[in-house]
Amino acid sequence: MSNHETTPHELLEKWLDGEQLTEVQQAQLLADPETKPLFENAQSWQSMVSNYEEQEVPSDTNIVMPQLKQVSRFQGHWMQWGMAACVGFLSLLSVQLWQQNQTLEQGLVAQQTQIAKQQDTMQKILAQMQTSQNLQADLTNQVLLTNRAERQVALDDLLAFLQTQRAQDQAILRLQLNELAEQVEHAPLQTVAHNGGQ
Amino acid sequence: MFFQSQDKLIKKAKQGDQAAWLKLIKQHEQQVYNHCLRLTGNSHDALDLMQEAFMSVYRSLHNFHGQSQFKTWLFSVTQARCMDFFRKQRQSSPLEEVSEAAHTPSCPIQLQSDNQHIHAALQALPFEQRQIVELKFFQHFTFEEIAEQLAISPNTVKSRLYSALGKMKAPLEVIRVES
Repeated sequence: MSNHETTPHELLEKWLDGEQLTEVQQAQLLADPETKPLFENAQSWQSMVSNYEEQEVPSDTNIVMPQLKQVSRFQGHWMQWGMAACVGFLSLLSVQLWQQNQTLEQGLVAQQTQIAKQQDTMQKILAQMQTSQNLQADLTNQVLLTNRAERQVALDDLLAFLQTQRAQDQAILRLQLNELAEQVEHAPLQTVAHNGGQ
Repeated sequence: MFFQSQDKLIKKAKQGDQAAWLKLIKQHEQQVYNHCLRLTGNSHDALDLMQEAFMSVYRSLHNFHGQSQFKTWLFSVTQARCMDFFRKQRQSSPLEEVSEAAHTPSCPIQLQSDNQHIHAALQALPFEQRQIVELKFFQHFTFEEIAEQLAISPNTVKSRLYSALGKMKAPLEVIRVES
């Protein structure tokens, strides 16, 4: 069924791609005005090509080939030299790395020692700071206590002074009252009555 | 075992084995040379092109991983060199001169009658069509393979081939009359 559906162009393509065509299919190709000349020309070409004699490559190709040989020889040697260079480079690299490792190790030990020293110094400084802090706290307490005591003494003195002043004032007032009482007692009665009539 | 498969030769050539590389060249040099000869029309250019093609193949051999047949890959590289060659030729001389030069090879080949007719008919075609006729009738590649080699669509390949077949009607009739 599918053969009937195939167009002459598709048949031609199949034939050109190497497929064998049946007589019916060939007739179908030749019946089509477009594919007929193409098919005939292609057939002519195929028959001519089958008679074509391939030319030998000229002997002077040797001019060409040594260049290729040189390239391939160079390539082969390049690989070997490359490998040797790689091995050498890796050896040098490993020695250098070992040396670098040693130097780094020594550097690390020196650094660790220095760090330990620094830690000791820091601890000493911290201890000193702690001591000075304690001293400062003691001093502060001492100052506060002294101040408090001094204030207490000053207040006591002030109270004593005030009480003395008060006692002296009371004594003066008492004297003045006594004097007034005496004056009243010795004064004339008229004056007293007159004053009372007014 | 004296016979070495092509795959083994390619593998060895990739590893730098010059003997394997030369064997590989020997297996294909006649095909490539004749291909270039039919495209250029003279042996000097064909030899130059063959050399350039093999140099390119050698340089990019590490890129070949067997994804297509070696012959297909070899011819795609050769096609690229041929296109470069014709592009340069077109740039260096006007189109008319190129077509005339193509008709009269600078170094005439000693060919038998059939070969001469074929060369004459091929040289009468534009390069793009000549390339397709060469790959189809002489190298027997399928449309798909030709399209892959030339990096164009299969439909373009077909249209170029049909156009070439149409143009070759007259030369073929002359050949028929002569014979």
